[in-house]
Amino acid sequence: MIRRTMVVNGRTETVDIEPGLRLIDVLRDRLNLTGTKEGCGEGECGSCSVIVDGTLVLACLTLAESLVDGTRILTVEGLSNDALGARLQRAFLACHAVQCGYCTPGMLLAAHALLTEDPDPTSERIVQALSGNLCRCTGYAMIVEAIQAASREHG
Amino acid sequence: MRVGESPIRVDGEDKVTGRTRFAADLSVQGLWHAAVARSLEPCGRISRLDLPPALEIAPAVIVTADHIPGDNVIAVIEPDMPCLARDRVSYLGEPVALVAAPSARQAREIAARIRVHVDPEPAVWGIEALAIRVLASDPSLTLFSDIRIEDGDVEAALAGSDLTIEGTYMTGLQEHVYIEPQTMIAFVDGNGIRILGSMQCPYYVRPAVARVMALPEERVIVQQAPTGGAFGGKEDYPSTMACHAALLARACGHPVRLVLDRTEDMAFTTKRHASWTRLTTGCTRHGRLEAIDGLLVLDAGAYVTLSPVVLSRALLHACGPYMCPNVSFRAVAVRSNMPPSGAFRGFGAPQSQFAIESQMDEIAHRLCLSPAIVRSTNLLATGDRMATGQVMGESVGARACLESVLLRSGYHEMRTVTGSSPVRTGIGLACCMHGAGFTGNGERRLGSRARLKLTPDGVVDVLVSTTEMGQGLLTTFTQIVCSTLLVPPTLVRFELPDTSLVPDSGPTVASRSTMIVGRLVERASRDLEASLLARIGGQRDKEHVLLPSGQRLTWVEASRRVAPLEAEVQHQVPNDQKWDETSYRGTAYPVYSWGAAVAKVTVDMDTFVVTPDRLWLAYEVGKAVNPLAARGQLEGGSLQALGWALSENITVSDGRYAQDRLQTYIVPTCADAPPMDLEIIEMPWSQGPSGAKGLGELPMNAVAPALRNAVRHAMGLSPTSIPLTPESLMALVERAR
Repeated sequence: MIRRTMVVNGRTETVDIEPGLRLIDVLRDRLNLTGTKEGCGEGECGSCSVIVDGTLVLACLTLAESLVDGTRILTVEGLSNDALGARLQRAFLACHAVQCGYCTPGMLLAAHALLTEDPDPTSERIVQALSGNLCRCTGYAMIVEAIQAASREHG
Repeated sequence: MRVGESPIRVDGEDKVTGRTRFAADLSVQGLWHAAVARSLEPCGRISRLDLPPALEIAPAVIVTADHIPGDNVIAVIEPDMPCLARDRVSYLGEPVALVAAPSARQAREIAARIRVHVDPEPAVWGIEALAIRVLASDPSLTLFSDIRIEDGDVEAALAGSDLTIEGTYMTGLQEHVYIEPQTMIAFVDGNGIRILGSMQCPYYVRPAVARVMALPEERVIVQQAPTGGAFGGKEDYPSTMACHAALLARACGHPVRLVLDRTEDMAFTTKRHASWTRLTTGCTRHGRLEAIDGLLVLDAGAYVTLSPVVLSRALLHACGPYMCPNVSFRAVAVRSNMPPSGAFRGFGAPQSQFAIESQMDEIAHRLCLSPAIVRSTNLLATGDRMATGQVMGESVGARACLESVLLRSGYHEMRTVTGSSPVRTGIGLACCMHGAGFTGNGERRLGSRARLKLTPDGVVDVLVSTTEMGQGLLTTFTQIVCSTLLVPPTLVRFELPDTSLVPDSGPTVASRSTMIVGRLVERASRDLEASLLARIGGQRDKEHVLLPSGQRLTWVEASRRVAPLEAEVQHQVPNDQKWDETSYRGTAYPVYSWGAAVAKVTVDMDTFVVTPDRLWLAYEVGKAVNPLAARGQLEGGSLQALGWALSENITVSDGRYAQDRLQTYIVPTCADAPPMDLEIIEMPWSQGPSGAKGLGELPMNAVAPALRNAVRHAMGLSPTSIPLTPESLMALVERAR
């Protein structure tokens, strides 16, 4: 058992981790942050995307023990308290980029990582940044439009 | 928040903040976890079942067919599918035993120790192999359903036609890939069972669980949890999930959650039926259809489940949106040793329309006519008669859709450019229709109900069993109530789809929810308003209620005086909508929605990779209650159709789907989605809420044949099957050499 301290959505959390525990299990089972979804468990669907120290990662493929103490994690539950996150949430709602909502948390975090790096991305860049996140409902156009709207709101 | 506007989804904020709790997200006190032990053989008699000793696995429990208190059967239509296989197995992956344990890992480990010994028997699968045996009238084949449409004199018409051509077309299996896997929780509640999970149809799950658990239906309560996509995949399969979870909850005394992992979900749950269609068509030299002689075969899988009704819808759409005076069309659903195929958006209609839409291009090619002209010559219009005898009434948007996509795409100009370079461009066209609502007498049998309750604080509670699964139903129903009662959305509330609280509004399938149940909600709203006004002796004055004294009350003030009030309405099929199930004549659907698609593709003649460059789409839906939600459905469905046509490939290897992971089963990502140029056309239907018709399944129909016809145009060769994988196109070229 390893003890790790991480900062999740701005809150310091200490978790005891047995070997093999995945980050998604820590978030969902230990911290009750069930906004992060498991869609496939093998890194193909992107539903479990979260931001770890500024980088977009798949929580189902990340071993919790690999995170160093003090790691900062942003999940969908933390977006409302974050200016960019809240802007993306508003844009997703206004542009009808949400249907069943199961891919939405991962989509929002992928978009957050993109706009943090490039506040004014081209549509090609948006498509590239989202291509690891599957959505089976929307056909994607309205999600791309939402990210464009969020980036314009900033500009 | 009125009809025709696109307000923010009522469930949207919870979904963007992560607050929505899907069934896998719920914390449940004392929860145990389930795993399923399955057959590793596709067919044969079970000779022995080795279970680990109870003492070794305690406190975990194992349930087999011997522990089922009621009937060991899950009857979707026919009572042929066991809840757990007992004497024999009929497909690889068939559930044989169940495990519940305090942790999911323990449950899985115990399930892996269960050995199902089977004396193997010959198994059958593969749509082409099945079709050959149907053609040979092989007596060893089991036909679950065998139906036909007969109209006119096909033999004479074919003999007298200027052009007679034959074509055979196949479509592949398709997996739903709802992003939320199948999930179900069962609780032992006093002397009954409570089920909570991801599902489309709570009133399908209730009788299934009652029968297996030997309980009266009212002691089974079924609640829908927020559902992360379904597309038909959560129509019948949740009944199996719920029966399994219920058996385990009863055995261990704990609430039990069953979650399929992605591979289990892809390998063993329902798929879109693979299809094989042979068409012989006769037409005049101007391209007017004179006769269609057809045979359609669906691979049903090991049990009947929904196959007869899928087959029925396939047959009823097999002539496409065209008039043809002489039709002889047979359709059969054949048993195989694969997991049962089931409902998937479109429900058979995409398969049969793929065939006729491919054939229309072959006719055009042979006659040296434009595919647009051949379609335009035959399109159904008001007053035209279908092969079932149904005469087209109002709201027939077929021609409007065709004209819209032709004009916007510049189809005629683009058809002249092909090029002979290794990278070729192709333009393809297809039209479609989709019968909205249950087939035939289905709606009459269902008699769906909706109930509204007015509370003293002015809140209108909507009680329907119709489920939100992403399509936006809670929002569109809110708009219908707000538009009818002139109240703000804050006064509209939905009771959970819970069989102990809401009436049976029918299943959430068949593009019926807005059209049928939305109409009930509209009618119930009017009834509620009428009884409020009658009680209070007033009349409506815009948002207010005007009393004879001249006093104007707000809705809330008026409610306070007369509430509680209730209004319940039941769907009634008009008497002139008659359907004869044996002769296949009459009104199969009260109304149809219409569509057309133009696809532009690039085909690399070295690698045979097809790149979809752009889609132009037109869909006629009566009235878009929420235009942005409608766009989301139409674009999302069109992309699902594109995946079916191009990349979503399932092959069968030793009785198992070879593609059972997202690494090998390729669902379109946003990088694969072409720009879609969509027009929604509205030709209101007098019996729909504000004129609306069903639209959820419509976009599944035209895109695949449009892509096939575009590839045909680019390559100058005729693909006969989808998906259009590079391997299949290379084989096509090699055959042509």
